[in-house]
Amino acid sequence: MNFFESIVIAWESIVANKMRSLLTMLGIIIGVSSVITVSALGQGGRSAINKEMDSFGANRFGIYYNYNPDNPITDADAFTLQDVAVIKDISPVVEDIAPINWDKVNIQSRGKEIGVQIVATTADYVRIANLKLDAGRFFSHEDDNAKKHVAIISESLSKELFNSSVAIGKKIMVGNRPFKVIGLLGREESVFSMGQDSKLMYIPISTYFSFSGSNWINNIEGKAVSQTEVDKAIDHSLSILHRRHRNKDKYQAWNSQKEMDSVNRVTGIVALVISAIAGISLLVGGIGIMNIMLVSVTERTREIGIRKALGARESDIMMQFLIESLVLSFFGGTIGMFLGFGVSKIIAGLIKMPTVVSWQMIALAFTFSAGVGVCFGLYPARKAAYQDPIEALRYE
Amino acid sequence: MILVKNMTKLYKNGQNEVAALKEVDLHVKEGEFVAIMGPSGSGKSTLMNIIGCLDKPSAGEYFLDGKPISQLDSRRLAYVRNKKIGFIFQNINLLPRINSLRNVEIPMIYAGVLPNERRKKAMEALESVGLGDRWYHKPNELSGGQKQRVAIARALVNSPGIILADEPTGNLDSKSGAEIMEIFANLHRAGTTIILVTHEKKVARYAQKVVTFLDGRKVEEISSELL
Repeated sequence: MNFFESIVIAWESIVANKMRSLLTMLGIIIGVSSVITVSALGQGGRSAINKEMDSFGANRFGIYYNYNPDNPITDADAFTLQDVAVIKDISPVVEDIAPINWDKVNIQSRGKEIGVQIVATTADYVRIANLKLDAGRFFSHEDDNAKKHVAIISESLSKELFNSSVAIGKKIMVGNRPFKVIGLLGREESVFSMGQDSKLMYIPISTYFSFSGSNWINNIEGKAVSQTEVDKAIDHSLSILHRRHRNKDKYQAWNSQKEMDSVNRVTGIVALVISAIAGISLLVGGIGIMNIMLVSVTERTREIGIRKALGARESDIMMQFLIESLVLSFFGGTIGMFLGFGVSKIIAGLIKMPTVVSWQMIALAFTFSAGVGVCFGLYPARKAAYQDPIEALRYE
Repeated sequence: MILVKNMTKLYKNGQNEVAALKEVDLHVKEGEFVAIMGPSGSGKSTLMNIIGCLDKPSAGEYFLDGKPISQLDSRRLAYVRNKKIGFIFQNINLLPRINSLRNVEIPMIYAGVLPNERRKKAMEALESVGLGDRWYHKPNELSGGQKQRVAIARALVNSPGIILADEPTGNLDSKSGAEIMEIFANLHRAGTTIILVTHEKKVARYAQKVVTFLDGRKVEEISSELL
């Protein structure tokens, strides 16, 4: 008897017992679909984060104060605009560098008062952060030097203030200072912000200092000429700063690559844990198959006897039951795969996250379910094959 | 063709050993039609199972076509059951969930006959027992007599030299029983060796020779004309 015959016989038996077959497959269906769902969402999330990181810029870095009660930061340690200019002049691996201060203020416009996030920086920041403008322009070095009261606002702030009508040229009052809107930022789709971008207002840092009452620069952000030069750019910047301020250990740095690695590590661990759980459900599914196959062997003792009387060898009977459990788990695997696709698409739609279904994952789920079919089908199949024909024929 | 020598079969029944067959000798020649009679428990079915290579004797020898069966392994025994012997059971033993054609195809599946030829032969076999219009009927859609005819088609389809029938008419009404026996008579005329177990004298009369068993022993072997 060949393999194809075995499949036909297995198929006949599966179709003849539809309900039992479905229940048998249930474990495998759940196992495979959860493996697929988890991995699709996991890989989707990972690739979304990576994409986000890429758009953020893989060669970005930042420098900030190393706050330490035993070694406090003083005015002498504060970053200056000259520091920034010197770093850019000296280091060949720093492509752009800009000071950046974040501040929360309340603004008034057309009788409304709302809290916004001010981002005070220089004209170079637009290249570092890769900002895209929908309309207007970013402020220039001239605007900065002249302490012009100009602002670039984010889409959500524009919506809130001007009800989506054209914002360029409008006035925004920060305290009693009028700022003229000269640019509008494009919407940034972000996994982290869940589709909502924040109310941002970019203004020249010199303008900011003119009313903030402090000349402290809180952060410096830069961009290395390439991803491989990020560490060198950080080294240069830190040593220039320490030399200029004649201090040490007052500053520290971050870089986007490091952030990306740690995010990937976390998502990797999460994916691994969930995959392990999904793997356990596959195992349980396999035990379910073994259970039903054992019942099926007992129930079909007489059939086994008849087949043996008609000339079936032990290997034929063994093959028949093994193929049956293989076909069951294979079908379960296929159904589970489509179910997994569907569920991951639905979840992805709900939490606005892309899904990635990799061929490796499909192949793995299939191999695993086939493996489950063979491993857990083997014992019942052996039991069927070695039945005594006379006793099997007499079985009621 | 079939030679049984001094055969004994013991069954363990708790502590006791019960002899189902005691020192039985039997010789069935090629083309012969033999009926085995006797009350239930007399060892008829045990003998049939041993002749059919489903069971092994405790002592004694069994030669089929001159070859000792006791030396065959399970694989060869399966081959003998498949190619040389056709079984017909009292309780018919069709597989309930598949149609007549598929039931008749089973022995050919294990004989390695290719699907197209298998289908053709199964159709011919069903036609030869008068069921050319019942190919796609499942067993529960057939009458008892029709079911037994499907079983006969199944037993014949690999053209075995020997047919072993264990009370084939036992569960049938007399009309169906007579139709079945006509098929056996035709098979006998065509040269098939037949061994048939029965309670009924009118069934045994179709045979040439009637062997009677009692308590595991062969007690009589006569020509059917003497019945």
